[in-house]
Amino acid sequence: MASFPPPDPVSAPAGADADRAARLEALARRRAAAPSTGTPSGRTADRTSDRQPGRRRHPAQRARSAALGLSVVSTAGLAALFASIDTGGAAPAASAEIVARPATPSIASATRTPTAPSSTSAAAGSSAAGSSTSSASSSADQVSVTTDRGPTVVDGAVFHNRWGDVQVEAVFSADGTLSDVVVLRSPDDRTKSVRINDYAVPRLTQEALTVQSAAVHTVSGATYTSDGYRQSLQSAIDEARAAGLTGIA
Amino acid sequence: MTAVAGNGAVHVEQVMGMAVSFDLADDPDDRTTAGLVAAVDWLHHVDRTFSPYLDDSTISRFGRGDITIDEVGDEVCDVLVACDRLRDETGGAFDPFAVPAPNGTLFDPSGYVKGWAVERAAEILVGHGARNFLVNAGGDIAIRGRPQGADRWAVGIRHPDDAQALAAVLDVGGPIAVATSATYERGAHIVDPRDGAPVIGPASVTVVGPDLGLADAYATALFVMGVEGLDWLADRAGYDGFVITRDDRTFATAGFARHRRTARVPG
Repeated sequence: MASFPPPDPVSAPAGADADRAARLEALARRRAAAPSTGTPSGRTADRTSDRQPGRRRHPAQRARSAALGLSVVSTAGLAALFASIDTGGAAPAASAEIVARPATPSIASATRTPTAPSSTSAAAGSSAAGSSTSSASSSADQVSVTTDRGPTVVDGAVFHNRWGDVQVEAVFSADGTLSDVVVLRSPDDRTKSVRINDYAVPRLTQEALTVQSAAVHTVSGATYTSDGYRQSLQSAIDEARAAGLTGIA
Repeated sequence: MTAVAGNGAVHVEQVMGMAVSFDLADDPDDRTTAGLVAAVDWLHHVDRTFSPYLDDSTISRFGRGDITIDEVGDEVCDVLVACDRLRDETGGAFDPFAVPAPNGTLFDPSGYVKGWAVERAAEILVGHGARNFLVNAGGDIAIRGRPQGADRWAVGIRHPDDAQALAAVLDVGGPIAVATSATYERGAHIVDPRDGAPVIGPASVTVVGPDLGLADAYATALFVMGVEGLDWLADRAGYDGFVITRDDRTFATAGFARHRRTARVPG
């Protein structure tokens, strides 16, 4: 058997030794007082019967509430985005033309470079077209578009609703398909929940990410058993690596 | 171990009830090969000491009360103290001292031990001169350096409904850790330590951060907390989270975006 590394030498903050000793002492006391030798099922039953209904909401219930709220916000944002696109009269596949059609086209054309990128899916054509950026954020019926080598990013107009301002950003692939939607601004801006971003459209991203297209080195997921491993993406990646292929699955 | 000249090396070890994949981006030499052997031995040592499935592991004997804290040794004490701190830090959402274990006791530190052990396995490799590699322990990953021919490792996050699809892709440089918690592989096995009830939870929870032991425990805690736990996680310096709900929507801490492969054009 190989020798094992010495105890973790990672520098501990001052007082860590005292904290460690105190915690070990408290743990020893707790275990001496009530050694946890009961069966899980018995304990669960006891604790369940002791619980007072309604004292604490189940986490999933809170999640559902949060999800519902954000769903409303997201739907409003998407409505705003697509309302903006409709105003411009442009289909997503021709998203680069959106800037040419807002209510006040003079602003857009003033900031827009004359070489508009191709709106077709030809990769060479897209990359040769360079980039084009236009933004007009203050008007309620304008959007900003950024394109460069394929993906096209469309910032939706700011939409005002009773909860506050909503703005979303849509990402179109070179072939004009919608690949991602990001909430840029939501009514929660001034609350702690600003940290939570809602991508709003289920599975649009997921469907784009088959293993063939994603080219990953490894996969993170819930702990699989040895049996589960055999059917996992990770095992396919390991086999490909072992066969002398590149690290890409 | 499988090694192909110029292509690094791959080794898959069955240990702790799972497959642990070592992917070394550089061709191994005598020293890093010895490091791989030591890292694998370390994981088997952890299994014997900490497995809640083995009746004679230190953890099982401690859980039953056969031995006291004074008898478990420094290594187990390290884990006990770390778990105790995590219980405080998570408000009890992660509490190995109050969850049912396979050995019939109410003490199961596996949610921390797995990540802790793999993080130290990675450090053993580093100590033997390995610089660019990843260790994937049943879906929890410790990353160092860079892959062959690129600056950042591309890490897929499994789609909760489809083992062959990805829900998101990260682009990360080492050292960093990625841990995912979900019930799609092993059923509803996560219990809320605060009331003993099985947790339905989100479809999938992923935590990215510096240390795999903490990331693993945080992912378990976040699974118990649900989407709202992202606000709590955002306060952990260096750690970010990504949650997929059961209705297939995704939530993340603001800092998570910097780890994500972006399909968007900057600007």
